[in-house]
Amino acid sequence: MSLLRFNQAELQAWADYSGDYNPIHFDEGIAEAAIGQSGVVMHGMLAMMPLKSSHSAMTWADDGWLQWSAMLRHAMPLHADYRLESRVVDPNRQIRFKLSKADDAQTMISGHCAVVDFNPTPYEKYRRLEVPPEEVRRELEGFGSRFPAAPAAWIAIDAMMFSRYLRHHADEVFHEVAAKYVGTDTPGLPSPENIVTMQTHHHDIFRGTLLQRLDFDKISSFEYGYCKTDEILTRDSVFLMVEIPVWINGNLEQVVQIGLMARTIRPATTQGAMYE
Amino acid sequence: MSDTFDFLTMEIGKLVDFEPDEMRQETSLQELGLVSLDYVSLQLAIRKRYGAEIDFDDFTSGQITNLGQFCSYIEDRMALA
Repeated sequence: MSLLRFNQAELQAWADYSGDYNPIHFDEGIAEAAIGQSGVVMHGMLAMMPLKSSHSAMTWADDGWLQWSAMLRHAMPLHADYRLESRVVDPNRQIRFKLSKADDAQTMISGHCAVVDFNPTPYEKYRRLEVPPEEVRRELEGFGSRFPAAPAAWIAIDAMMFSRYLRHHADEVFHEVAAKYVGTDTPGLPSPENIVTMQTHHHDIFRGTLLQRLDFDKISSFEYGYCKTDEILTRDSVFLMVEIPVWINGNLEQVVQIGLMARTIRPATTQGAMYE
Repeated sequence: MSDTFDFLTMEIGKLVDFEPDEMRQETSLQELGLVSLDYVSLQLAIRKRYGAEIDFDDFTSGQITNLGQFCSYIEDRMALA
């Protein structure tokens, strides 16, 4: 078990790296209106980082495929203490974990890390976008300099792909889904400032070799794809699951899956049950 | 127990502090401490496994209160899928 606490400087560092300047992370008023709790909200990716590092430092059975999977069950206030508990289910093959608030034991994130059988073949269908190796190096080193406590290659690639998705592709995917459900000509189409987006799920499938640091000199090509794999419309929100496979030197090395939920901000007095 | 019940309790066990073998047909959803985002996780898992769609509103309306009812609901939806 370990105790975790996050601070404003880390919040800013993650925003600067990822481009995630969602106001719920910086503006207490907006955070309260959106989430119904006081104080700004943690970035989910920032909250998960020490969990990923902790599990990367464990001993795993082989260098096949690993899956790290997390469900983000509540919005997490920045100014709180958290407790990480990881439990071995199958030695060197599977653990389960939860991150809870230290004061009331409410489980904020639950998940597992496990050795898995994984078939990379279906990913051949993806259209690939190439990133020049020097750009990859700059982005990964940018992450490493801000977050030196997360040295495993898969965590850095995960962060880089989250950032790339947010900066280059999220608007396109979100607007496609919003138009599908609400219609582009609908007067009531929410404007971006009236929408709050929260991360709800995060999964990584990666080769065990990526538990080590990445050797940049061995990267001759780096490609990724992206695709919306799931969507769910609830009473007042839209949920999306986006999948981002990554190929290094032509081989599939990692698949990042990000679950996001977007909904309109309502007055605090009419908050529903979305983040109870 | 049915395959659906085993699957449901396994998926719920990934989310909350209950082991699958601690859950019964009559275990209430409230007792399990499921929150709304957990239902999104369950919707995804059920869609992937059975191709069935569940409606979040059916759970907030109070019609489904325990695991046995949840299980029957999924099986009804599977018949429509």
